[in-house]
Amino acid sequence: MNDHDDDPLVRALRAPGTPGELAGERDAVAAYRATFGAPRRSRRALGRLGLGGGAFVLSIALGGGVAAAYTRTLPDPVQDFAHSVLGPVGVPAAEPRERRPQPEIAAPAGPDTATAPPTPDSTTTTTDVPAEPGTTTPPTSPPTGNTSPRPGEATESAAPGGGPSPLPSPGQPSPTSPPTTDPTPPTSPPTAPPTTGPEPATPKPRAVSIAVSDATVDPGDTVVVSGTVTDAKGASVADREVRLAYRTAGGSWTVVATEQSSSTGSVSFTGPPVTENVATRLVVRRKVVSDKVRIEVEPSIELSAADERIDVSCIGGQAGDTVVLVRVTADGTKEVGRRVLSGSGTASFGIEPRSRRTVYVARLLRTPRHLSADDRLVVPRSAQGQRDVSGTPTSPT
Amino acid sequence: MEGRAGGSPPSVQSVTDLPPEGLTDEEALGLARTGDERGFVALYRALQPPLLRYLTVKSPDGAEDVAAEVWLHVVRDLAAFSGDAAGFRGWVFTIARHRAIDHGRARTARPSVPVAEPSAAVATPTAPSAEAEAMERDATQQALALVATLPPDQAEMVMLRVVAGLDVETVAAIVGKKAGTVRVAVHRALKSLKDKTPGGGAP
Repeated sequence: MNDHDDDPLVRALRAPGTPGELAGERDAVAAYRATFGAPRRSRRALGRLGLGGGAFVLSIALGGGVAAAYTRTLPDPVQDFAHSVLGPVGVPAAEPRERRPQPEIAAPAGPDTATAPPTPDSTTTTTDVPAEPGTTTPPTSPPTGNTSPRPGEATESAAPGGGPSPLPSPGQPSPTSPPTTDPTPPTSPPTAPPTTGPEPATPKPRAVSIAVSDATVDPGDTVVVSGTVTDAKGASVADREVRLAYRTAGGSWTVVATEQSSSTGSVSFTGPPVTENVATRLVVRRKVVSDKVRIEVEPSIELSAADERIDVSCIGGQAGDTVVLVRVTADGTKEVGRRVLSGSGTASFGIEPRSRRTVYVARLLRTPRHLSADDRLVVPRSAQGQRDVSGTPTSPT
Repeated sequence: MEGRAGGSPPSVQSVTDLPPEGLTDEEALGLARTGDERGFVALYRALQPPLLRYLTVKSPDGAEDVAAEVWLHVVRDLAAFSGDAAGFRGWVFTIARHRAIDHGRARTARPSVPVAEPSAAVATPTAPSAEAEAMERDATQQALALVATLPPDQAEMVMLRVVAGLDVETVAAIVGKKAGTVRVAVHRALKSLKDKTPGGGAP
């Protein structure tokens, strides 16, 4: 090829790309985001997907990608991209986004949302799950068995911007279908004729819905929890005491706030600062308890380099949490070492001087108390060349 | 994919501060596979122009659509890809070849229905160097038109070797021919094109 490198023809063929040739960049990046997650939360979202989530995404991509595109069940960015590619052969564009309001996110559809069916209504759920009121005693075992919350499983699909979330397909239950965990559908017809007494009976609360303003928060953030109290016919119930209960990992339910339902049956709380993952729910009285919704803490982690050392500083992590440092290579990543966070939320890694610029990634591993977090750092060769300035280097790991 | 733009940064810098052009192809691939959008953007900007040009010759009636399909496929399987940047480039063009063949088959099986040309709606805004860009684009288009006059197999090998920048062995693997055959075919094709061009090669 070297003989022809100077040919005008070869130079013309190899000319830099024009903006017109790169016009599809936005669509391609949108598809990339749909698969790997939004820029800020990409790594966290990818990490939270786990093996099962990854398999789900891959199954969409490999198995049913084209079919899903035709049935408009891909995530919106991917659907739009597929539409732009396959539109001439009938692949529709994504549906409008008004079905996903940002302020309210889906509450899990049962005590163990990992096994619960998808909730048709993406904003709130209403159920009547027999459970004890919000006290300091642990809850009884639900019908599905698993009560111990695992980070990431309860609200992954509902977290805004937390990666692709499957939309209900046309064959799935309609929004008016009762949840499968509800033993007594609230829309059951009355079995007796209307009473003719002098005063109507006071409506009894039978269910309370729950929605949270954000399912993933920074350490110390507060979350607005809202809900509506309804009776057996779905009518709102006013002036009822509603308690907001939190439960931390391994802890017990604790009431953190109490409010009265309004004339429309609604209630809203601003919860206390969330410093670790919690499950939350609203309690009206015994057997009138909302679904559980998980609120997960996303720690922040920052890297800095000095001499032959990379320092990690973490906010939201706990002493003893594990931090892994890896080096990005052409084949993926190579682990440099593992450290535990100190009481001040810091850790240090010794690194070997390298002859070229190196990208390091540190990840705070996920625990029951928080999500994972990671950060990247580029250590240029020039900085490594100054390693002898401050004395003896740290031993490499 | 010819390395980073600019020299080494003067101090320790978060990779999130680097523009995609500041990444080497190996870094871009490594980052893209770990979910860093900048890595993917760098890969796209490096590979999309040669990809589109290759498909202009290989599948002239649907180059842009096929290219979009290729990137959809790449995004889909990127996490599972293992190999270096050169292998990635070869992988992308292998996908492109398969998609172009599929596109040709589908077009044969399904009569086309003329529709309005949507390119005006997605046209790139005019850049400050629009005139220079237009001249360069014209030269590139003329060169592609010249390559398209070659026999299809030969044209494809030229595009993979010259435009995609793949080595002989990779091109041979993609088109299913021996490396020597590719080497000779590309050499003869370029010589033939040079002879066709007035003034010794300027398209």
